[in-house]
Amino acid sequence: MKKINSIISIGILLCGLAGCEKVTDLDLNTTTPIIVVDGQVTNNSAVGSIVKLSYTNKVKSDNSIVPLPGATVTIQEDNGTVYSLPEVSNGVYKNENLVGIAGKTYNLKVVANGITLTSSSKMPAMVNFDSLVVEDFPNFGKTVKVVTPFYNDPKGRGNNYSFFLFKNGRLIKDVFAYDDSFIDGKKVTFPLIYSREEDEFKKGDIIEVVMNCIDDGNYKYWFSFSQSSTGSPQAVPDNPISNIKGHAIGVFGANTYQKRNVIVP
Amino acid sequence: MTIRKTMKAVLLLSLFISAQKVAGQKKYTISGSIKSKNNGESIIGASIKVLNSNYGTSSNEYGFYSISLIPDTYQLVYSAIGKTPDTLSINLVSNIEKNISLSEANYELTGVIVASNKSLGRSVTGSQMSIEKLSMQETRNIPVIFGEKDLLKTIQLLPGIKTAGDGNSGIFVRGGSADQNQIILDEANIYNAAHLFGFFSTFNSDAIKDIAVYKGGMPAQYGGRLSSVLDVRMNEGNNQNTNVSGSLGLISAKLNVEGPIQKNKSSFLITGRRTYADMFLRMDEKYKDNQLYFYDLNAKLNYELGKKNKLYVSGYFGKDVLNYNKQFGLFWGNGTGTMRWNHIFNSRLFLNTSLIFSNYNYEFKVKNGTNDIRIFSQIRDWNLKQDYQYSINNKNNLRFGWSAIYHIIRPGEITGNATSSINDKIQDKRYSYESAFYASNVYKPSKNLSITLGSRLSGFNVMGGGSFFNIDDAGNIIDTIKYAKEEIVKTYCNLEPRVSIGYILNANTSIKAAYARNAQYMHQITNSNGSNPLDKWASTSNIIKPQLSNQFSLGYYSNIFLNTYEFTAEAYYKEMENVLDYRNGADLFLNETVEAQLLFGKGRAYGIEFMLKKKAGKLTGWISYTLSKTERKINGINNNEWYNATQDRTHDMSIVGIYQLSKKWTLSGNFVFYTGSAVTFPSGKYQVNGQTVYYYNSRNADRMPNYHRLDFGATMQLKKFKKWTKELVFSLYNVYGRENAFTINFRDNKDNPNVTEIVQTSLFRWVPSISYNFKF
Repeated sequence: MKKINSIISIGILLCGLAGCEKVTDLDLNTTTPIIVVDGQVTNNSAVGSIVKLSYTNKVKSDNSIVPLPGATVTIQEDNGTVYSLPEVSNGVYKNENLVGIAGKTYNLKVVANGITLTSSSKMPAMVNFDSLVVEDFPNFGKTVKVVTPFYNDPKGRGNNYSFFLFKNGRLIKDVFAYDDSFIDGKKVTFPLIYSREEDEFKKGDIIEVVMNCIDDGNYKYWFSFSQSSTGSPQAVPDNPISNIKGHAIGVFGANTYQKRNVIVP
Repeated sequence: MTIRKTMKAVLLLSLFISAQKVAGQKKYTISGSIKSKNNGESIIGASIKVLNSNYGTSSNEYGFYSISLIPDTYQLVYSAIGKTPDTLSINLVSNIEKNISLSEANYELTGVIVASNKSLGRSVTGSQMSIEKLSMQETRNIPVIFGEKDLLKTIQLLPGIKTAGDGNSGIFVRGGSADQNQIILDEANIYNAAHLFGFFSTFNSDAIKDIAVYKGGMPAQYGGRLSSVLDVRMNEGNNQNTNVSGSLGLISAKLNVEGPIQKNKSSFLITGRRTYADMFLRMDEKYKDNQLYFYDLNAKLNYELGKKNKLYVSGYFGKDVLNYNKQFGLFWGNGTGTMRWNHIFNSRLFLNTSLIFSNYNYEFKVKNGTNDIRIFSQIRDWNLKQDYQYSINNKNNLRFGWSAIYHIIRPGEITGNATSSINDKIQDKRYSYESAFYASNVYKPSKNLSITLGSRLSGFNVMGGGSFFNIDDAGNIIDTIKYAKEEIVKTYCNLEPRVSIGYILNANTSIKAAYARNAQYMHQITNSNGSNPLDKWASTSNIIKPQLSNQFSLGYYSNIFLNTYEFTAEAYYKEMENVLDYRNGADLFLNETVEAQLLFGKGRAYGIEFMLKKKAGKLTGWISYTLSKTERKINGINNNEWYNATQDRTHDMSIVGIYQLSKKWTLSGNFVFYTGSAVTFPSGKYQVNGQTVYYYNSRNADRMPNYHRLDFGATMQLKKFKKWTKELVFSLYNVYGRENAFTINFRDNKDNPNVTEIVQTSLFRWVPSISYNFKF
């Protein structure tokens, strides 16, 4: 319930009438670079299956990726076919023939610089992304536009969802991850409320929403990410709970993939 | 095992007492109550000294005192802070009752605060250490933010007590966490002592008589929290005249009405406070749909039923309201009720019986689109206890009693309307009994030595009436067991010895040492550092063990320059067991299995506290300095190695000065400096699925910037008109506008998302305020 925390921060700011922000500088510790795995298998042939390998960077450097080239990347479907993912560009490994199937488990194996990393993820059953609507949302004295995805959570616990928002093709850097502990078997109508003012939707903006059905490990990753690793954490800062085994961080997921878009009226 | 230990302790204790009885010459008792002359309020901790002897005592929480002496003629000196001492000559040939009324020390006549009586150097005598006491009188001139006098903010200026943050009323005592402070108002537990996210405390200064903070060496009658006891007592109400007083401040208005029901015998008090800052806010079109305010009400009645009985009924009710755009509503508050019956069996045995009720709940409402959701949580206590005070002889004072609390927790309930996307969910209620027996004897074998030996035996029964879980190390539920409501799920028992020794080196100097063990059965599970009204209280269960602490302290006390100054130094070492933290990625929100989200470990804290206080003259005030270290070691955090607790602040200093310029003007100032809190900053970053993710290496290895601030205040007495007294209080918080960091965040730059910027948010710079106080 990120919202509760944000409403509390609003309360605090209302109290601290003189509250103000300034950009500052700090001495930060640095760590030796650690391998980051960012991989997913999807059930969508246009998106395919892709694994990006990189290293962590200094906080004060820019946000560009430090790629990890020259690794061997394979994904095995259940106990069957082993797909190899050749490096298609610096640090990016891809196999367009690997299209995931719901119910199957995908086992990732990466060998990079003599280090072996593994992970596995089971692709959950796909829950239909029924529709996407634009709604008004009152926000501090003005009304902003937000989008609400509609879907019906199937009865029975264990369904997890993540959503990614794009405005005119650019990713909005907010994470939306939900489990079904409160919504089990319900028609879900929660708006995706973005946090930054500069992301505000304007008339004519094309908003795309990607809905992934994800397994428990991936839900844990994205939930803990949204709580603790965003840079303005709601909880004590910590690393997201990774499902990668071996000396690495990041996440590997076999996710169903659906995309809808809408133009802001 | 524990029971055998207790038996041993009780046996030892009784031996100790009986050994002293042998001395036997017939003794008589002087007893009675000590009150304030002008309003009839009983005086807590007034000193009763037998002149030219080492005998003496002090009044208890209800102003009652008792002292037993061999027949002779004595001079008794009665004194209290802010009062003119009174001396009585007594020819003791039988038990006698002496009720004393002390009049106000008249500052106005002299314009100078009279040097306190020697016996008031509270720190030097007795064996009790690690205690801070403040009366409202002493805090009235100290500048505070928004001009809103607040006991919990003023005590932060004392050594060993640290603030939770800028303008915050939350406190950390000797390395303990916020939930390890027992905050009691007229004996009732206050589960959330904060209004408006901690910026104000629940204590309306107009309704409060005084506060005692025990940082260590807690007397045996207190128990249930590891770090401190904040014993707050409400005023009783003037039993002489009806008074109306009040104030208009920057953010709140207060009104206080008190008076006799029957003169000298009974009185009432009603105090109310309401903030109105949100009314200004609503004038702005932008904020017109927002509400943010709180109010509270204190009421007390006391009634004398003959000479031997006195009845007190007191209550508190407070509520915070936050409404945001008709979309979110957050409401929270405490309610307490205390009924106390004082009974004097005879001049040597005093009994207080209390029935106490305490409630805290919050309600959260969300509305968006077709979703209309309500979330509710509550914690409620019923407490019955008896406290006996028995003056055995002039060398022994015994205190013993028992307490039983019934806790009912409604951990979380979520309900939605028919069209909402959520299923209703009501978590199992949690029931438990917390009980304790205690006995403590203050023994004064000689003029210089005072020894307090006591123990508390506490027990906790986790009761059924819901599902309980067994979990593995990774926090996965292994099995679920259902218990019926009357079934005991688990019982815990702890012996908590309390020992303190005071030795007077010379007339002005003493040393003391103390040991206290404390057990805590109710725990707050918090995700944030400040006060969050949604922070969850959880009772000890089959998985959550009672938290335990051992504290050793050592102190040096001296009165110098004819008692004008007081210098104290105390060192402490505290170790804690079974302290809680939550797992990384914990989801505490309405989670049935909170236990699965928790990690357990230990803590240690040590430090040294210095305080130099100037007690008399035109200029009064103090300098306090604490050097300390606070660490935690929790399985599953920071590679299971020791790390700094958030509240670990190496240096913490306060300077407070109050200057009586003239009859009309009093000026004041305070300066605060402390090392920034221990925090975790990222040591790297990376990209996953297009999102910037920060990498964290070790817990709390970084520091917020150091905090410092200067405040000024001035009080102007306005012309008296008949019985109508008025004053204006001015204050300026953060005089030089230091931007103290409230939070530090890392984010992508707005214009160039490829660059990370570090953003510091600060809250209060130059907060001026004015308030108007009146009384008639």
